[in-house]
Amino acid sequence: MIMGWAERLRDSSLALYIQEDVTAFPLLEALHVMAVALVVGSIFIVDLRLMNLAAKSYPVSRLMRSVLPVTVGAFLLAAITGALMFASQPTRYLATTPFLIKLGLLSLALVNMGVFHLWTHRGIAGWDRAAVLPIGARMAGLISLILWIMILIAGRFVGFMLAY
Amino acid sequence: MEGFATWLDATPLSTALKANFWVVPSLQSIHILAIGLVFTSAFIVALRAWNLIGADWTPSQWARRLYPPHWWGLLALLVTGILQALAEPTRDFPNPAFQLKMLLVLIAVPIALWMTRQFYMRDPGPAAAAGSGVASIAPGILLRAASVVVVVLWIAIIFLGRWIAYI
Repeated sequence: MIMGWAERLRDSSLALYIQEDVTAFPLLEALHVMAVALVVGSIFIVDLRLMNLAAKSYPVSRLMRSVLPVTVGAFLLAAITGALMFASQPTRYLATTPFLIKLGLLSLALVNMGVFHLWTHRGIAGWDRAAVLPIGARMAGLISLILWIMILIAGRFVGFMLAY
Repeated sequence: MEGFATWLDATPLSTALKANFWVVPSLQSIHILAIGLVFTSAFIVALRAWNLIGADWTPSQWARRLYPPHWWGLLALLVTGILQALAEPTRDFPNPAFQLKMLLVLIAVPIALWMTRQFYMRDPGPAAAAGSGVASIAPGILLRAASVVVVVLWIAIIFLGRWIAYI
């Protein structure tokens, strides 16, 4: 069923345009790299703060309020460019193992973020005055850091091992 | 340039780097992670220089937080970049995208160096500035303009880096 949908997407005029225009795909790739760089870099700043390894004098809640908009904006750009690249050759990507791994890791990262924001985060009022954050926050930071590094590497191997 | 590249291609180091299929993508992965450090640092320093985010810290405090990973990231870019060029010299050295990218890097790095010095000179450091009433000097127009110029340069460099594969 997914492959049927993927084949229809592959034959769409949008997909054909991205496939055939010489600059469209490289442009999407370059924008994707730029966006991913900002996602990973900005998440590192927050994660290292959550783990109390950097920016210790910056109140956690305020750091997140400053930096996370950059993360969200960059992630949107990464998601849109990624979706457009996917749309150009959906059947090939779905048959590429690193791509499926990347999607899985992205899901885990989003779950980690969800758990943090919906649950762990509720105690944040006390964090700004705390020397060390609660274990849940530190774990969220560490898991996020590891997952995003793995997502980046998986992403690089997608292009390298794209299925025929 | 082609002759030099062909010569490099035949050296033992280049051959060793090409020997395993995972070497170049691994170098590229580290390269992209390092781009994350450098570009994010430059981007956030620029946002702060223009007073758009992060007002809890002075621009100099942000610089002290972000320039160490920025410069370590640039070192990683240099090392992984050299190794990638050594692994695939005929792909890189004669390539106009690669050449222009290197030119832009040679422009961006001194500007970033100047900016680092400016920010570091502008206040005595986080311990002194935090809550002590010591005012840091706000970035002047030159520093603010430079912060935008480097970001634009890094974007161009990222694009050229991707385009190497297509020329």
